[in-house]
Amino acid sequence: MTISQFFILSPRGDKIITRDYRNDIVRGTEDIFFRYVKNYNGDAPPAFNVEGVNFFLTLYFVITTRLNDSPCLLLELLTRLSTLCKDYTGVLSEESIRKNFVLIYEVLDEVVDFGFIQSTSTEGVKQYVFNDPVEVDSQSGFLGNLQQLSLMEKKTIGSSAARRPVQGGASKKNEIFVDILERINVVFSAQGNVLHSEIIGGIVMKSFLSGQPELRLGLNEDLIIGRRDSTHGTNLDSINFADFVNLQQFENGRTLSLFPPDGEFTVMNYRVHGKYDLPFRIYPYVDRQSPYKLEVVIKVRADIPSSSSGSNVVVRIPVPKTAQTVVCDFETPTLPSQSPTTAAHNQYEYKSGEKCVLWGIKKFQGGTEQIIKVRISLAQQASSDIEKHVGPISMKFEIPMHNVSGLNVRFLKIEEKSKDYSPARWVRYIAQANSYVCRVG
Amino acid sequence: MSTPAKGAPGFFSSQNKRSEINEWRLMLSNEKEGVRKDAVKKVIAAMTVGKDVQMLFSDVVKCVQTNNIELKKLVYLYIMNYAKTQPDLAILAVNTFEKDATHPNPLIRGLAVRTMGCIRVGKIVEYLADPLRRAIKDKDPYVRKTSAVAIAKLFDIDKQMAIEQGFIESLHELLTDPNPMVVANAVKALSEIAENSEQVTLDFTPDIIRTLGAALNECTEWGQVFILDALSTYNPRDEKEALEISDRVVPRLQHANSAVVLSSVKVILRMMRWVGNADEVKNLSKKMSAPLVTLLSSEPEIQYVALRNIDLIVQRRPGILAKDIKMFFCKYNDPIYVKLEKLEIMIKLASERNIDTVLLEFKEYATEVDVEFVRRSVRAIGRCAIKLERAAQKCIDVLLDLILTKVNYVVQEAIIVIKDIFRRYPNRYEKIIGTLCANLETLDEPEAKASMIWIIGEYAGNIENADELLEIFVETFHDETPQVQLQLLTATMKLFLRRPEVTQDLVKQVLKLCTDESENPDLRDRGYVYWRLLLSDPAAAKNIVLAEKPVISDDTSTLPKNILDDLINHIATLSSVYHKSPELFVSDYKKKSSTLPNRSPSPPPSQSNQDVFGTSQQQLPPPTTTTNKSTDLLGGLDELLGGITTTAPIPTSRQSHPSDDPFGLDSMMMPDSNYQQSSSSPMVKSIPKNLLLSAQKGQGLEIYGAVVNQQGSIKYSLSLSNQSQQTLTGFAVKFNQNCWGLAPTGPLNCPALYPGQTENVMLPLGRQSQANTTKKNNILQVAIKTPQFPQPVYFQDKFNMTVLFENHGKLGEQDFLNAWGSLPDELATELVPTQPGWNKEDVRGVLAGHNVFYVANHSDQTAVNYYYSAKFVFDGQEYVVVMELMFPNGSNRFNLSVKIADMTFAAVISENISSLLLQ
Repeated sequence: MTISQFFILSPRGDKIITRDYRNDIVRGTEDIFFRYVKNYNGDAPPAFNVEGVNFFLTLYFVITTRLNDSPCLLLELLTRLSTLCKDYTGVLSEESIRKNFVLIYEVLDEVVDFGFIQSTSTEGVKQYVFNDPVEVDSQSGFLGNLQQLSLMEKKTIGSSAARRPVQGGASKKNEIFVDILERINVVFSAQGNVLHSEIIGGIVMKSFLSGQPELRLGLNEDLIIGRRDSTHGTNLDSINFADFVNLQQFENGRTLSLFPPDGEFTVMNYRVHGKYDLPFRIYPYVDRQSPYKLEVVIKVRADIPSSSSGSNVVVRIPVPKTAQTVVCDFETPTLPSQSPTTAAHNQYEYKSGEKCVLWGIKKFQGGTEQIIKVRISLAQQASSDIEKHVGPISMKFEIPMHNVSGLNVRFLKIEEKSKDYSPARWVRYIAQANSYVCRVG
Repeated sequence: MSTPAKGAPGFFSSQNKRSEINEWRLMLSNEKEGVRKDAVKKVIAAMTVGKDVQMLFSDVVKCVQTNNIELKKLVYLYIMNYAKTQPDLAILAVNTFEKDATHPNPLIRGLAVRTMGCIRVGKIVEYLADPLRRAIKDKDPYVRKTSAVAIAKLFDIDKQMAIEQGFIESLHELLTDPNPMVVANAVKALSEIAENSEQVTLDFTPDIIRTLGAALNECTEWGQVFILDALSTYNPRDEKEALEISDRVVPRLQHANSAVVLSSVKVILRMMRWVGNADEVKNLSKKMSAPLVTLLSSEPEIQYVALRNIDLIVQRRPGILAKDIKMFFCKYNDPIYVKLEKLEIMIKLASERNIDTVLLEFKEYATEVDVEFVRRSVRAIGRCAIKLERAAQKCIDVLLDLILTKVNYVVQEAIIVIKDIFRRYPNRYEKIIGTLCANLETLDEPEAKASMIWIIGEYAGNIENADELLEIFVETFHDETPQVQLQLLTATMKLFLRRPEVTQDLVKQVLKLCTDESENPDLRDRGYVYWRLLLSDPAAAKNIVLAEKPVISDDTSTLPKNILDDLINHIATLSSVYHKSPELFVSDYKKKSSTLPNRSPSPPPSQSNQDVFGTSQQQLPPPTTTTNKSTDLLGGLDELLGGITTTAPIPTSRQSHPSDDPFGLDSMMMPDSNYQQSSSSPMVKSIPKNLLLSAQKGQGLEIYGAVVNQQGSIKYSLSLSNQSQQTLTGFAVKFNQNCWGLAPTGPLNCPALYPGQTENVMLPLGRQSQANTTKKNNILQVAIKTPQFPQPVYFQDKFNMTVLFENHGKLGEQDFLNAWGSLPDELATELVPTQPGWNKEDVRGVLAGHNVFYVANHSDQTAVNYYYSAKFVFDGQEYVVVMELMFPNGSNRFNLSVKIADMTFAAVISENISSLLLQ
């Protein structure tokens, strides 16, 4: 917890922000860091030690310490700091950090004193911070792709709509965004059995409410936690909550109450393992047509209500290294409910370098099936275990307004006396593939 | 509020520096506040990119005279920057700080104290002390919390002053502050100070622990971590308190912040050691498992840290996660560093129940793209085979499947692990050798080649064309690495000894290659050894080279017990990620918890080489881990005897010994430790702990101990070491009546001892009504029992009587002379120092540490005399002891004379003091 230095580096290794809290480390650590990371074979592990200086990084937010500190704490802090910077500057980009460096220094001094973490909640720091943010147009930045510099890729796709700083700024709209995000990890066997499945979910909010009213968030009443054997109700294996969530009515009413801090924050995380309805099923089939020809047929079925649909579905099909040419066909689905036009949404691309086929489906309506036939001609005679060289097939998708675990927000009440206080409330559900894999052979 | 500074990137352009500075200087003295503010901003921007703006110092400092907080903060930001690099400059602004420290706005007060603390120069201390003292008592919590940190800063600048001015006590007071943030900062500051200082220790009373527990619920997440880490250093008094603390901490496991979760796990694991009740242990374990697994759904960085910690936890308490092995299956999009950690944990959790699923996973991983990951997966299969005897066949089947894929690096890795499997289960799976040999040509890595050659040599009797196979390698002998060459030599030897008739030429050729043409000394030496063996005694050669190898087991990533103990105490710190003790990477880690000297020299690592060669393999040195560089000698021997440097090393059965666990809870009081009590008086040598109870006599419980006097309170410093196979809990202790009335005043507060574990404990002693005063001796008879023992174990200890000496035993010179004169008898002993480096100058310091006080000295031509006095109470009566130490000139020996009214004590006193002197 005793942080020696904090710095933010641009992707080129320039320092944008440095803060030395204890003066116990020589100068030039950012160069040491940058060289280490650039020269590291592959991804550098998130914490490492070079000559007595321990580095922590999540991308190029870097902390150094000389002591034996809690690495989780430091990593969490880095994440928090990036969120804070984002809260204060609206977007997290090199430009926004550069333009707001005085503000960020001010924030940094409130967050950490002599290497001790003080407070990281946006509104907690707000009362001690006086500089105004400089708003940056998120589209224009010459390093627009620096969005990647943000850590926001983490578990959410960010609470979208609201790209504005929490403090100052032109619009003073009273609103709150609530996202229920579920990331799905599944492994299917070649026979279509589920070998392993898990949902990692979270409720993320971004609040622009004035006056810090109390929020009450009601979840489904049939929520059951930590009992794997129970068959009815909505089962969650484990949950955890943020600091500021009051759980007094959770046991009985499944209601959380909280005074939302400003900015983006996670209210709770949960994890479900085992039984629930998977949104997509993958059925691969490998047919050896001749010693030099292989046909891989993959059927994907969307087991979601027909009112929902998966968007940006991409199926990645690795083919054997010996593949010479690859041609794909889409089968016309046979299901009566399916309109013949859906096939038009299909497209594929063969990446000869990576030896894999990417199959994209723009909109995958619930209750329908899609089939792809991949015809591969091989440069050499197929070996006896050629099936093993196909796959594993992985899938990426996003299903808006769909929720796999069954966790629901029953209500979101804002407890405020006055009648004309009616902030906008946005609740959305998103189910996403994290690691959605089907093995072949 | 001013408008946002337009064109901010312009700050960074550096043109026309001179005029810029002048322009800023003008702006800084502008009467409009807005202009001044913009100017300071520009200066700071320049400062950030490394421009020198020192010359503006006085101009900027002037701007601090304002009521605009924003401007003030900017100026402080500027000063703080120079506070670090140019403290002398910064101190010029000290008047401003002093003034601001009494500002009506608490924010400014806090800021002033904070900034002052950042000026790292000795002079600041005198200015800081008063504002700081006020800040500690400030009514605003923001100021108080800042003051707690400022104390840590002050301590960093000037330790002595911080202690003398009572700031450490102030920190202790802040621990009970109503504001949780203040408490958290005070805990953190105190922990850090204690970590860096000998004089300050974190002695939490049960009351403070309760206060901290209460503050835990209200703190910020970071504060919670500070408090949890402090709690994890606390030794509860008994099981009840341990459970209380655990109960307080358990709800923290549901926190979204992974740092809070891991620190909570650390506290609970620690408290569990005091819990003997199996149900409670099970209950606590269960509560930890789901939160630990949940950590794996965080960012990969956190996952990595969590996995490194889980790796330690499953080694200590495998039960916690035994059912969750599926959670550690790798996802295809995990970063490589997460995948590799998951593999380790999967191997540790693999059991006969789940091996089928696990193997299926490993097999799947072995077809992935990342070469390193594939190799480790293949190796994992082999390690499971070595670990689980009944699953070995299944593992081998999978490996053979993988060899059929013909993927080069998979095949090579598989052969390497199969060699290990052969060493674990000799003569069981030779059937598969045919399949292995089919891949001979594809091998191009030294390790794989060496493994293959070893297998051929080992099973030369069963492989018909072994000589042909080896010849393939001999052809390219000069191109091989020494590793392969050495194996080739040994394998040829084995083959020759099994089938001498057909391989004579081959062995000659190889021996010649090794001895005549090789430049590698190892190779030459081994070649000569074999050659001479063959010449002198072929039968002996057979016995040695074809000797049965010790069976290996897999502990590639299993840590030695004492290191594991240490790391478990450091869960949720960097050391748990690096799997290294903190002193190995923290440059100025506090000495008191670092390694302590060994009590006795460890047994010599092996018999002499000659011995090994001359005798049968029963007397082989213990097999040893090859991952450990220091045991290369043995690794070499093992190899010479026809083994191979294996990747799955063999555990050495470690004789547990009190000093094997230098990181025990009470590492302050280690046997023979020169560090002991060094905080109070550096010269003092401790009373060494003696073996009180051997493991044979104590039903597996071994005890070392000594009675010591710690600042007036008498304690029994004990090292309990469990050498039995069961976990020992619930220790109770009882003393037999003794003439000094010594008896325990508290319970024997020892946590559960796992097999092989050692714990240092302090048993407080007191003197009660005296009994049995007829026999005057210094013998203690003690009984210890635990529910695991059918009957109590007994031991007897001759304690050092000086621990009972009063701390006011100093006599004036006149009193001494009177006493000396009035006592008729004296007991004189001649002492001969034997310890190297013994120095008579140290005597005074040594004795003073044991309440034997120096009175005067007297020297003449023949000798130097020192006079000492001491007092003790016996049977309600105070006794005075007077002593003379005479060092004759030119002699190493010296004399000790003791006088006391009751001369029955003299023998014991003389003996005890001599033992102190001669240490």
